[in-house]
Amino acid sequence: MQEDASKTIDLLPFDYSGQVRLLPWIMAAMMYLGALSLAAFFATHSALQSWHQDVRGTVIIQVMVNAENDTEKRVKKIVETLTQTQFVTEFTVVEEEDSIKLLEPWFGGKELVGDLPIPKLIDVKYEGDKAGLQPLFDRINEIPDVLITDHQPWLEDLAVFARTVQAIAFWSFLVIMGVGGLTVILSTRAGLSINQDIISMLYLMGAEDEYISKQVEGYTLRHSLTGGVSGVLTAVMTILFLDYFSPQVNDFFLPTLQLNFYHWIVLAVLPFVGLAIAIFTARLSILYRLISEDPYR
Amino acid sequence: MIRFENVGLRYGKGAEILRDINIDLQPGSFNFLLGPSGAGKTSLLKLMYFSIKPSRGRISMFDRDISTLSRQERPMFRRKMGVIFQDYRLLPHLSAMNNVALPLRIAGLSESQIQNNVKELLNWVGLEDRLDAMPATLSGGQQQRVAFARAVINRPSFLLADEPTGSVDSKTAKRLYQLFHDLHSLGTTIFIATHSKDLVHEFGYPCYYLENGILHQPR
Repeated sequence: MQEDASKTIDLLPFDYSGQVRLLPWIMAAMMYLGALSLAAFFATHSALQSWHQDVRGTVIIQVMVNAENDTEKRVKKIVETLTQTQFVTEFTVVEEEDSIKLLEPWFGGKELVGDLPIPKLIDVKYEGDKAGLQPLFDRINEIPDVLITDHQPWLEDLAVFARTVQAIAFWSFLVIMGVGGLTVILSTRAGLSINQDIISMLYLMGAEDEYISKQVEGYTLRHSLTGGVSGVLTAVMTILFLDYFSPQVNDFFLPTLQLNFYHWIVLAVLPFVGLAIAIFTARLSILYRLISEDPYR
Repeated sequence: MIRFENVGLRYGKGAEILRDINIDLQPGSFNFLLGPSGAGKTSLLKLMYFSIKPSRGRISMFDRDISTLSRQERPMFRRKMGVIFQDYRLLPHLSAMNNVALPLRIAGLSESQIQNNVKELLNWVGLEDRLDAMPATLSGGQQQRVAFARAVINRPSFLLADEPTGSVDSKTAKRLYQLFHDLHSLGTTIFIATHSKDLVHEFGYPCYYLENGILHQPR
């Protein structure tokens, strides 16, 4: 009984020091914010990929309605041209019902847009470089009142914005990790100051730097792991909560918080990365402090 | 065993508080250091256990100049000495047993060895019934005996004590000195700083006298 008890004693009573008792809570908060920043980074990355996938190799041909030219004839001519073009892999003439549905969010239902001259839309998918389709576009442009829309240019602007958001998310993550490391340093220093007399006694009894460092690392390990795991678990719950409610508020352009398998793996590893940073900074901090206070250095 | 050669000490840019100290402690000797309060006895002891560095001069221990010891070597030298303080300096969150066990834990002994040695030693100093007592629940004399046990548990070659009886009654003081005497008879070199002339005279061991930073050799 006595033997077991003696093995678990804390030589440096960090747990009794008010100033450093907050470490697990601070670590939990840092890990929570860090995990959310990382999730935002991943979500933006996924959204960017998804946008590019959706519009890459796609153009929309709009056939405007006017009194002088028969719309159906012009559509037929375009379809014939598309059929003869080598690089076009697939095309779909969008039904009027579907076109109205696309306009609904902006103009309302069929009863409101029914009288509007809604252009006929042809969704064209192609492979290879867009420059290879230039002869096709030239021939289609000869048909009156036809507009070829390429999403790529405006998507690039959106992508720049998304990449900025992504960079901010990653930068926030790095800052949060840095502040977490700083917290460990300050907490370790406070703990060392409070326990200065005990450390002096341990030295006097022949303790090596490694021995004293391990006492502090043991404390940091326990509390950083507890705080880190709690923080990341809370962040995961927040992500799942946001993901559950996101379909109700989501729009095509807004990134969802749906993470893939690898993203979850990274989030699961995050507390241990935080722990490694905490142990490393605590170790550096204590060794620096011990050596700097050595009268014979 | 311990040799001071023209050692001087000043704190910061202040005046020298120890001047031209020369000491040569032979292995197995028992020496007192007598002097009034503020004479520099504690500073002299701090120099002996490397807590501070001399401003000048040379200190050797076990035939090594301690200024040449690397940071990695110093712990091994410290394990060869025990130190007892007037204010005991027990770790308040550890029981008497765990306080005494500290030097052995630091030295990396197994738990079973630690338990046996600590119990035996606490029995020797008459505290066999207070193994699990926390320092705050012990009397001054009991705390001093725990501090004594902690200092000697490693079987040090050299034992330093700074006013070890300064905070205990005369009966406890005599008992403690008897423990020092017993340890000396086992071959331990002992150096005790005190201001009690009576105890020094009672035991009759050589006595250095420190006054105004100057050390006078034993007569």
